[in-house]
Amino acid sequence: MSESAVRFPFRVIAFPFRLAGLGAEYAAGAMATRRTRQRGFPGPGPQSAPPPLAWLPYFDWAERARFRVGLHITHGRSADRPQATAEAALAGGKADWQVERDRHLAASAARTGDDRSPAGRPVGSAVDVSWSYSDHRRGTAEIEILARDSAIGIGGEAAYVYRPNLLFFGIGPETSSDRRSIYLAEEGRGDLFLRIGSQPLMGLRLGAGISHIAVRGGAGVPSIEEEFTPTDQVPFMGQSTTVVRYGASAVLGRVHGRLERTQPASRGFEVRGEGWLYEDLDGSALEWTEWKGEARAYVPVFADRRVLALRGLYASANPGADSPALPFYRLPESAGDLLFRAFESGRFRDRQLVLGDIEYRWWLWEWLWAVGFAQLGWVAPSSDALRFDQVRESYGGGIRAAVTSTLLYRLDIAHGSEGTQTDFRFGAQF
Amino acid sequence: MDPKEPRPTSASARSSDRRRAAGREWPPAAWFALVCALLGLTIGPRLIGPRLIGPRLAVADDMPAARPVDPETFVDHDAHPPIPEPAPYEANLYRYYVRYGFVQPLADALDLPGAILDLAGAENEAANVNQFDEVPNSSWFTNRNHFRAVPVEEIRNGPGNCRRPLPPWIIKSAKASGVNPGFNIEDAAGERWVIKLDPPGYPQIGSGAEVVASRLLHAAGYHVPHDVAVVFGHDDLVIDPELAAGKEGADPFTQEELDRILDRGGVPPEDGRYFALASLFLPGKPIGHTEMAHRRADDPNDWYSHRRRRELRGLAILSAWLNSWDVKDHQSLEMFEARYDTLGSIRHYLLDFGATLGAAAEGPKRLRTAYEFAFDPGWIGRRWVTLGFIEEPWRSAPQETGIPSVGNFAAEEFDPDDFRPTLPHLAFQELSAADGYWGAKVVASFSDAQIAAAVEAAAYEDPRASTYITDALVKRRDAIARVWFDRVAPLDFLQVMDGSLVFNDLEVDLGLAAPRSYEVRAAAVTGTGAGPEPLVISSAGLDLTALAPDPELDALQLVISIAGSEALPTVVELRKHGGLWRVVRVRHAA
Repeated sequence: MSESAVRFPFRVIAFPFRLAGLGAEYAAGAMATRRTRQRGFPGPGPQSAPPPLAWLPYFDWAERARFRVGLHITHGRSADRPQATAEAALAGGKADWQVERDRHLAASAARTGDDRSPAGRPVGSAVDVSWSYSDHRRGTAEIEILARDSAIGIGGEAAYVYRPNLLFFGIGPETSSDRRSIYLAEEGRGDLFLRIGSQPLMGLRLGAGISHIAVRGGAGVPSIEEEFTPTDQVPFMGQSTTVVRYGASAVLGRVHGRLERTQPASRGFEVRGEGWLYEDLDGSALEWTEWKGEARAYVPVFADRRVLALRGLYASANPGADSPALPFYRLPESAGDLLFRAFESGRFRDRQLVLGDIEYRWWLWEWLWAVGFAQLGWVAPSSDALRFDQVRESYGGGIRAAVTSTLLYRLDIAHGSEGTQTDFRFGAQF
Repeated sequence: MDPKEPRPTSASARSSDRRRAAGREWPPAAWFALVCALLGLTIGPRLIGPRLIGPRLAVADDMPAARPVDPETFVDHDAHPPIPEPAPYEANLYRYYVRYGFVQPLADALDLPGAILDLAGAENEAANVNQFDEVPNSSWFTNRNHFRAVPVEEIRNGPGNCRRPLPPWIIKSAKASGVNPGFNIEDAAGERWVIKLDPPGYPQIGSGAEVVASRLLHAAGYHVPHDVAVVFGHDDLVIDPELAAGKEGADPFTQEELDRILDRGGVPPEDGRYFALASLFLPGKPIGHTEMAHRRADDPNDWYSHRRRRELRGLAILSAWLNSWDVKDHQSLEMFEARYDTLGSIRHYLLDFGATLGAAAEGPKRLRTAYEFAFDPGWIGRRWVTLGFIEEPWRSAPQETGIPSVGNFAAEEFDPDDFRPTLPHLAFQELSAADGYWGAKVVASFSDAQIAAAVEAAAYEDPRASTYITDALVKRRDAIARVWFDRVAPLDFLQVMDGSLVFNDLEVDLGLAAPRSYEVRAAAVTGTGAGPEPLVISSAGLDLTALAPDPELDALQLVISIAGSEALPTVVELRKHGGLWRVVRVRHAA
């Protein structure tokens, strides 16, 4: 009597959770059984012939108990899904969390033959489309003509991105969070590239492309036109631009780290650099150079399961002597990889942006890591104007779930002078 | 606006403020404190360290009103009455993984009523023990080595008495389940076997572990299949003509398919041999796995909640000994044995011991395996709290032997309390001190020669493997005995001889402790007057006439402990029949 009596009220309270658990069990059972049938006999060695097309649902956790549910389509062996995902970049996952925090439908497809480069990347093409309930739309396509494991490759990329609720707070380090406004950006771009080197951390890429961005008032209030008047002199507010760019990017690094299974880098370094020259195609007389440099270092703290990760990043967009002021939407901004973590996406933008990260990461379980971090970020109109008293600090922690050694989910909670922010992202990242 | 004027707030916030002001709503700090207290109460003990007694589950719910165990004998007549053939049951492995890999650990970590019951000291005794604190023989278990030493020849020969699959082997079907590739065969003697190939690069790692574990578990008393390690060549195999033609509408089984299976089983050495396990088909008809969470509804002889069966709880200790880290429902099988036309009974088997010692399906087991659950909130929490600086036992244990046929198997620095199967096992979680003692007693009953015989049965070609595994099992046995016999007084086999109560001190018998003295506290359970005062005796014998001279006294309860030890005592009850005392009840860890 006694044990049942003690447990009864708890069972009543926990009944909804029990139902949820049962649902998860049934779903996992049905899904995994189907996957096993598709993949054939489990275990090492050659497997039975897979079906040509495998449908694999994926689930993403979302803030405020929402769920991001999508359909991921792989073409080829389902066991190749991580590579396909890496190639196709899974649009829903690469979304900017702070402005797309909504459910996504995303699909990606990539050609994944057995012919792999030494880096494990497949040969071929990738297509990726997504749509979110907040009406973000994204489509990317990539094709490379030569095999990825050859020393030289030629290819092309095309993308269409429609983002109706981007944030704008003004330009410069002294902007106020009270002037939060919304704008819409619609971008189409195409690039051709020549790749030299087949290693993911040692190579050079030369490229040229065209980019068209149109902006207008976004889906939300206040819109940028309502919050910022002509006296604010926001360059190219409401005006689209079309530009051509030429440039190169290079990466050099040597990292490694493998505990038992998938593990992000635990020791080594990476240096990345990009330089682009932009010129207008629409008579706006725009001309500027864009530089981006990033250095990362990973230092094990007495063991590979404890890592001190450091990152320094510099981005700049410097207009030519005869160019008008750069469009506000083409300036470096604190968003995406450059996010100031305790601040809203797009909170700061200017011609110069500097970011410094220090993280302590420690292994928790399988592919799950915990992280504690501190971050400093600056923006300024010129490199001479970068002042330490304008630094924006973010402190916090989070978890990282490594899907592959370079592809991971990351959930951070950061605190800074303007409050606390959460950031969730999926993809190749620091 | 006047800066001192309160800012306008939302309606809900104003309502909340009013409730708080009226004292009807707890302030956030109080909620926070309450949540912290509840979490501390439930998670705290699990973070501090492993508990002797696992999280409690509702075990009392499905208990029958009466116990079928004959309390004075060692037989549980659970094959009677005969029953019709039950429906086959197949548990979905992936559902099982989700439930016991993720849901159950979280539920255990937040098991507040379990914590309350623990604090209240609720009893958690196994259901199927007889009056002598032993497990009766049943369709689940047969008392063997700890009652009567099994001859080493019997251990070496196994339950099938040394049978081996005689070539040629006619392949009847490909193996349909499990990770290891293989096939089902019929040998030249017409017997059916399952063949499981060893993984590439690790000959005999799986087959050896299976043979050793099955021999020892069988000698311990569990029902297991007859497993033998075999070496065969391609020429020993013949594809059944029906299978080759496409049996029952299936695709034809071709020579290429066979080669593909053999390739997955490992690249054969130059002499063209393959290493594998041959497991003899069990008698009867398979009707599914044993489910720990539920009794079988269509078997009226399945009396006890499975997690209250001592032999299943005590299996935790044997699993720790053998490093049987993948023990779960799917590593069991129920066979229906028909005896009266359509009627019969169920026999419960353990099987599939490829994940024991240092082995896993793909080669050596992972280092973390057998030390943590696949998803272990306790260890995750400890790592998180310590910023990753905690040193887990699996890191310091010398597991990596460098012997391909052994894998990762620690002989030194083995602590049985560190053992964890991959998934939480419901019966293991119910392990009480008495159950653990019983399991340790069974483990401790194996001699070095018996262990060596079991290892010898695996016929390791690498002599280092036999030596290492035998040595490791001996050391692990001793470690288990030390831990549990220090926890529960190992005073057993109590009986009255020539007016004296005699018993064995198992730790002394094993040579792990020097002869020592014992403290006896006696009380009359019936009759008149109080019992004698505490008494210290220097040998495992107690003169009952001197202890209880009153002729009217016909019942005694003795609490026997080891002098100077904190081990839980043994309680023995005696009754006088015809002027002679006899033991009527024994309880360990009382």
